[in-house]
Amino acid sequence: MIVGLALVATSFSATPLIVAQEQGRLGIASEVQKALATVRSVQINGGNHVEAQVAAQKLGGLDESQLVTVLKAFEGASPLAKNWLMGVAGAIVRQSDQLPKDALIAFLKDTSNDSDARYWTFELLTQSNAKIRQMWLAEMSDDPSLDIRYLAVAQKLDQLEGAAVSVEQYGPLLDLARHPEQLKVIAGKLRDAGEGVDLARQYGFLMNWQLIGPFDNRDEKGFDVVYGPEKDYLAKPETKPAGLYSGKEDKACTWMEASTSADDGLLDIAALYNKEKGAIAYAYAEFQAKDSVEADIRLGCINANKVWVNGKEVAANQVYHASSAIDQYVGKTELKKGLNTILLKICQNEQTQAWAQDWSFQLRVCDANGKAILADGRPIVAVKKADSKGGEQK
Amino acid sequence: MLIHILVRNTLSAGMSLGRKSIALAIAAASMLSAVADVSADWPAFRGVGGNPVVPDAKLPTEFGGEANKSVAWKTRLPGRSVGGPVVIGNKVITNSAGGVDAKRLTISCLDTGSGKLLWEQAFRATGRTFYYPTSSNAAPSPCSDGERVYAFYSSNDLICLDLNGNLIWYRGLAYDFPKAGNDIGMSSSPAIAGGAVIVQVECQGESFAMGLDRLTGKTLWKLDRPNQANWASPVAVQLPGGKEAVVLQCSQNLMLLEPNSGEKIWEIELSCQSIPSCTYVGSNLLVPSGKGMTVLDLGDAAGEPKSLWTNNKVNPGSGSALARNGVVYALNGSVLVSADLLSGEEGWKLRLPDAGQLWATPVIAGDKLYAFTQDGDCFVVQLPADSSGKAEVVARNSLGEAVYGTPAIAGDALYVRSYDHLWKIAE
Repeated sequence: MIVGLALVATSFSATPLIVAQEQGRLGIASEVQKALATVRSVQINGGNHVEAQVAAQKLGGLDESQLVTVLKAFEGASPLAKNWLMGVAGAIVRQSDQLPKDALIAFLKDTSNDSDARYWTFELLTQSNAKIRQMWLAEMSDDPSLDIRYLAVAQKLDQLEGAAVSVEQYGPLLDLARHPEQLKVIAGKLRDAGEGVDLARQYGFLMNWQLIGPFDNRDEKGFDVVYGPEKDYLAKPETKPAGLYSGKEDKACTWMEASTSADDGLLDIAALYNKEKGAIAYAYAEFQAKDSVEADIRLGCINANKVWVNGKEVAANQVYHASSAIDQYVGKTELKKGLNTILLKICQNEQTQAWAQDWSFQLRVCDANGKAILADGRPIVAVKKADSKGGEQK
Repeated sequence: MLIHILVRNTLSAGMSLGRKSIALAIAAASMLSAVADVSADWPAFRGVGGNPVVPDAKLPTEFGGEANKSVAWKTRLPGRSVGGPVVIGNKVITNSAGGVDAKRLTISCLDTGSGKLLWEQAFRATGRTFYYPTSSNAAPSPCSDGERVYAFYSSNDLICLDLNGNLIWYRGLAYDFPKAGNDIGMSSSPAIAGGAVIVQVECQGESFAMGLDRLTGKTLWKLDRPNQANWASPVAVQLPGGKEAVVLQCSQNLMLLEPNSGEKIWEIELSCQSIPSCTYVGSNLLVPSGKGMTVLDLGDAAGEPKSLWTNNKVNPGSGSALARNGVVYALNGSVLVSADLLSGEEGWKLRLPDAGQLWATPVIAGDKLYAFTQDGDCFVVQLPADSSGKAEVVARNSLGEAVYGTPAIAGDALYVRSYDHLWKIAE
């Protein structure tokens, strides 16, 4: 009883401004568009969900002629709202006698449409038609939808499997692929064919760092302690901190050059600090951007970590030894033209298990689709061939 | 049924019906939900009350293999799962995660008779989709109140559909709690108690338990939990007086909550394990504790529970314990152990030869226990009447595909979710 009454009481307390803004974006004032705007207005913590529930139920009863209208509403919607819209689209499909295939194909072909909506449409149209799926994917390996592009590249790789490895076949795929696993496979094939591939460059991993440490992290208490390098960097983020720093057990800390040549950009801090436990190291790098650009700062790190770009924190994760992967943590930033600085704080704890000894990180700079953004003047390293495939991802 | 009629009539009014009217209808349905009949055959992870035992079910002893013996059907699904299915009437529902980085979330409903797809609904993960290579983003099992199905994912996406696949509500909890996630993968399955669906999300980053209105997805309550990895599931219990409650376990304590408010009925200091979950049998709660197993009598929950016994040697491994006819069963590694439910006195033990790793909780149909290995082999154990007899492996069946989720029993059929397929095993 209480739950029901509470629901009524809150039914119309949504944020009309957000709904109005959504209606304005869609530009049409019809009942359908109003309902779509309401679904698009969902917020975190359940915000506007009561209204969205009502609107989604209305929209789910539409006939199939409105399906593309619903798919077009994905454009600019939040990931939360897109899931509501997928529910709406699914309801329309289930009660449809005949899908508007021509309109759906046209929607899919128009690559300016929302990638999530296009992928949803692709699966709808092809999941029970393997022949069409294969035929379409053959032409979609540069699709802006990363999901479709992945499937298209995977299909090409499958088709090439078993045939003689050739640079002509695999070379173009290296630029088309975005997913780290596919890049690794393609690089391996090219190396087998005798071609050199700088895979780390393809990913956009930063390879050269300056490290300072170890600072105290016994009992995992150092994560929020602002040690000297961090304090000085945040005060003056345009340069590397240059003070004299006292670290764990009052030992003097100095900067050291640290580089990696691993394909996956993994830098082993533990090896540089004699497997110190309960310790923190800071890593500093400079990145010369050719232009001002929005960028992803993508970190893989099995230790607790913080990341700053130009003095602004873009990631903070107090998690120890719970797996690691390329692109594990994604921070958004805007690189400015010219010099940008990056500071990492990588925290090792004191766990004694064999699987809890790694103290390392890998960081790449790329666009939102995973394509590397390379620093201006990034040195071209000697390319690797089949006999030196570099580090393995954990 | 009443709720369905109400909502269907509401929908049939179409676009002309005002928001207020529909909101009132939903509110009315919400009020009625407390008396809705839950008719699911296998409504949640480990069945009814988390004790996967169906005394009158008759399942094949031998099945699978190259001849697909007693495999009524086998249906491919659009992604991987390491959870189990739910069965509601003639519908068996399972969730999957596929596509790039397991971000394509699907909920599939199959006809129990034919295995044919009745409907499927896809969504996209909004949270973290990292997990241990043998696991899946679809690690939590779905649950159902008999009229809706709730699917939860490691990525903290929580979806409520009606039994025709239509979206009732959706919550992307990763947006509400961005630090809540474990890159080894989360696996705690949701539970339904009272008017709430309850999720338990515990990891190093940010931990919480939450009760959401099962009709609207609205947050009813949220409880901060220790920032430690925990894969155990909340357990819905119906106390002897009929009162519904939910049990939460973690390494620091065990607590019983009122499901609609989240208010603590009691909390005791007891270090619980982080993988196997509690099992509720009669008024007794089998708790995988740091010391093996502790059995509590919850009584009517008027006061703190009474501890009946603790036994280090009755220690469930990855799967949870189960009980039948006054005997507790726990699979510790590949050794099946038994104990008296009320005294904790150990009984027979049985090694499952060359079993390898077992993650799924065993299930019991009649007097046979079915235990799946991660390689998809199923040991069938003939159980004696009590813990003093002798158990015997009577069959070892192979499905040839990894099985991590607890199977479901409905009627005289076993529904098994392997990585990529759903199987019906029946004579």
